[in-house]
Amino acid sequence: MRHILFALAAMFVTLVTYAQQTYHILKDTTDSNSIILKVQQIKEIDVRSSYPLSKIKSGSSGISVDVNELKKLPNLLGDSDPFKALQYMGGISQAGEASANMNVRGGDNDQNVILLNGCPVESPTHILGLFSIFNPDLIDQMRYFKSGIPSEYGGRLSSVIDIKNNVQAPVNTEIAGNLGVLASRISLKTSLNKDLAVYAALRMSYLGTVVIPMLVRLGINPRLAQNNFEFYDTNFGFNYKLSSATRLSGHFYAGDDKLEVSCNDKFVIEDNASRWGNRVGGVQLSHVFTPVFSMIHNLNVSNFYTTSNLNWLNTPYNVNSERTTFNYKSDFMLVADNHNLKTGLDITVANLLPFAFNKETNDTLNSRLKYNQFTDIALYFRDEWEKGPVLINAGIRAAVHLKHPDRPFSTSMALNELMVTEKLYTAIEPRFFSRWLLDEASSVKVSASKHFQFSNRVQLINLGLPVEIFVSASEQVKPSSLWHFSGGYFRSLCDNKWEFSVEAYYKSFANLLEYGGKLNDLMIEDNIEKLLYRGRAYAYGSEFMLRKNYGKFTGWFNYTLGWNFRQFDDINNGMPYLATNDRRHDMSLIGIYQINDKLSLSVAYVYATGSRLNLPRSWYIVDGNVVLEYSKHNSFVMPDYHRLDLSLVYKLPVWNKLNSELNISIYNVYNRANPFMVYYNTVAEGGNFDYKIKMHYLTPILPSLSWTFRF
Amino acid sequence: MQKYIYLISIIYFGLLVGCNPDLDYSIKGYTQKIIVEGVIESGKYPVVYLSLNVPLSKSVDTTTILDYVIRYAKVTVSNGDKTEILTSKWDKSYFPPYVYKGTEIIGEEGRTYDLKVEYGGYTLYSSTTIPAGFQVESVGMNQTAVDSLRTLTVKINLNDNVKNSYRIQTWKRKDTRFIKTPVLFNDGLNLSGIQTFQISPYPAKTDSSFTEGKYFVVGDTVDIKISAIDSVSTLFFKDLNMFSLVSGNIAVTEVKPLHSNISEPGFGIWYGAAIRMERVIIK
Repeated sequence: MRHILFALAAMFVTLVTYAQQTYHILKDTTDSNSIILKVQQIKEIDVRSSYPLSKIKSGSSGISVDVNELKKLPNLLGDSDPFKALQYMGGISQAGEASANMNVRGGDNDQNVILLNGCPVESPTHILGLFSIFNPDLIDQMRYFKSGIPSEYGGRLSSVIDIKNNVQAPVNTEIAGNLGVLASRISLKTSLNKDLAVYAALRMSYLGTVVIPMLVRLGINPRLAQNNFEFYDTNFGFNYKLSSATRLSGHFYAGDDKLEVSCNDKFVIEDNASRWGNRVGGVQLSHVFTPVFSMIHNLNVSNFYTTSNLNWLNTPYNVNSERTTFNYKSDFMLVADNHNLKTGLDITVANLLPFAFNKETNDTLNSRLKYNQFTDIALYFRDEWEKGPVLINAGIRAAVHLKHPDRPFSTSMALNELMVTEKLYTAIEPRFFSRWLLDEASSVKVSASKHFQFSNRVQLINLGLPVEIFVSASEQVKPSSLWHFSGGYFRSLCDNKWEFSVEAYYKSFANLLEYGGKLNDLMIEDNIEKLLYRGRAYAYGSEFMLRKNYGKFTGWFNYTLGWNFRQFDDINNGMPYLATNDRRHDMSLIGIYQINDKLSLSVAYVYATGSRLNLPRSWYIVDGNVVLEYSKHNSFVMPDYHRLDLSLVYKLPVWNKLNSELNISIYNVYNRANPFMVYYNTVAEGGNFDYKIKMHYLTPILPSLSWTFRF
Repeated sequence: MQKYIYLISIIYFGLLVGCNPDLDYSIKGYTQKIIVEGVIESGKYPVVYLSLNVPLSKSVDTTTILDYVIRYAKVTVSNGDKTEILTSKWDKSYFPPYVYKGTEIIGEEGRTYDLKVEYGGYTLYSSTTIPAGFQVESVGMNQTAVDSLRTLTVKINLNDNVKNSYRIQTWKRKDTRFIKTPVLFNDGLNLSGIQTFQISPYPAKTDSSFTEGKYFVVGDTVDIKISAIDSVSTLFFKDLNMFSLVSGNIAVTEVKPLHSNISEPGFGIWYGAAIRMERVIIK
């Protein structure tokens, strides 16, 4: 029995000459008791349907994403990426050019809960953010919440993105894959017997092994051969039906990125070899006691690490950070009359290596390594109640964060008093969501919720590279928190073929963190928490959406008008300033036209106000060094971001059960130079000084061809 | 056919390598500042360099850079007993290539010196004290993997009661100037007793000793200059070191300006330094 998206679905089965039956099916559970399969021959079935109301009636179950629809959208370098396509949704903005990182309603990239089969994923991107880590062939379900987040989710402030791989056991063995320009993938799904289904998938790039050697052989800049960039990821999993009411499933993900740069003049760094990746694994046990009562237990392990070896000023260094979490989560669900009750327990034990800078030839610096350790325990309860036009989801989440004493990397390290101090924080997070159907075609939704985040990633360098430090709430760092208020009007038009909505939001953040030190402070300071600035933020805005769900032409238009301010005592003289990810205007326009059975054309256009940076306005020379003088904090606005992509998908004729299609995409059709990063270009030799800010842009017009197959 | 595939590949990946256009950068609130770099070392006359900050996006060469050099300022130094107006002249070995130098007041350890700069209708003030003297215990030489090369260390006896940091410079015979070690020793101002510091000069590409880097060749004669500076100057040079190392990287979240001890609209440093000189022949 397949998973059902909605918490409670009333399923009406009407066959000609048969009576109507109603079944209650619980979310995320297995229930084969209620429906008994019966094979019989019938003459004819008359199926009639009006277009369903997708967002008008939806409750607090988040927004379900049509993964297959997103796969049709234009892709970059021949690899479709439904996760990255979330950036086309209202309120979600791309963190940077070509990046899969995202900011939701003014939130930071580290404020998103990203779940793979219920297990948290720390960093969801490959190759400077060009690809997400999620294999598109495996994704069965994808949901996201940007407001009205129910109390079963917690730990992060801004959003939840819940991805489920391979929920359905395949009827037949299925092999799928894709041949792309930089990377290819292949996956296998099969049922070993009627109770056990398994899947496996592999994706690999071949930039360093094939592409770059080929270019060098052809005479392109030989320095390319000294650089290398590769990534891979792999997935394994199983679904095992222990009984008609009990199911055990497991999954494992491993993926790494490797970057090798032989020389980088700008950093005076040589022989840089960096590696980072995720390891995610979990098992899930679900059981249905009765058709109205069931439970799910999850046991998860998630690890994210970065390691970098580099030669700086003729001295070898090693830079590390790591985060490992063990998580147990249980959910119990009960349906009683109009109430859908859910309660559960969420326990996380975490071990963080915030940032370690080792000088390979000097043991004294190694002793500065220390691990932060903490335990988070959360209990939640919520009730979703629906009567007539009104649906209310009210819940509460009570969380405890216990910061344990730091653990030294080596026994020689002496921990000071602050490091060994235990600290306990408690948090109460009320959550409220309500939907009111005004009539058959329109509704109003409001939500108010409080969120706490006990563990942050603080950005050191504003690049796609994960150069961040892990920090947890402690004696010195208070937990981040958020009050989020949101309300919207939703309306369907033209017999539900069209939808329109307008939403407004206000978010008030407290205890957000910014790194306030210099880079070399990280090598000197034992307590990196001392280097953090703490402040508040507030974001508000409106989102407009027009969407066509049915017909030969489908698509949507999203526009967000938003403001995002920060106020830190130690920054900008304590005055409010616009945040780096402040985007005044953010727009996406998506169109998919099904030309015929074989051919479909899609168009994606995005526009966003440029992000803000803290840039210098002048320079001078002191003691032989060029020194930069900064203007007011974040007063520089990057050029606006905009881009048009096109994609043509041609379904090839079926050959020996092989279904395949060709995807021709043109990324950035009018070759817009959107900045990927900016840097100082300095010429300061022989008395000539040319000191300018320049930008790299990564993705000019990029046509690509990919072949996706399934058999 | 293969040729065409190659050609298309070259164009395709050539695009990926990317172009680097200038950012259309308009100057946000540029204000002119008088940049001061002045020092009075123990046993020496005061030396002051003055310049203006250059708006970003301005390209300057050996000629136009002179527009940002201040040549007509009145610079006065006082030690409480005596006041001296510094005289100026060209100094092509340095930037800014114009120096204001004293001829009467000589730096003394433990004494305070006031600086006054008058230029363009503005008057800037600053004050500094030359730290108390310190003792260099010894200079050590260490073997390296290469027979003819050595590294050097210097042992300094740090006074528990004085919060100073130390700048170390070296002058090999082939050099034409003192070369800085890019590390400010004891910049945390928390060390005491006898401390050993590794000397690692970091010459520029234009320096004759560039290829030797932090190593010293057997047979060479090396002058080592060790300067003790006070806690105010330490903050300035600590930040300055980092700026010079990360200046190519715009993405670093720098939110703090350097710690200047010059009054507005000036910026920079006026510092006193207690000097110890050591000369060693590398063996």
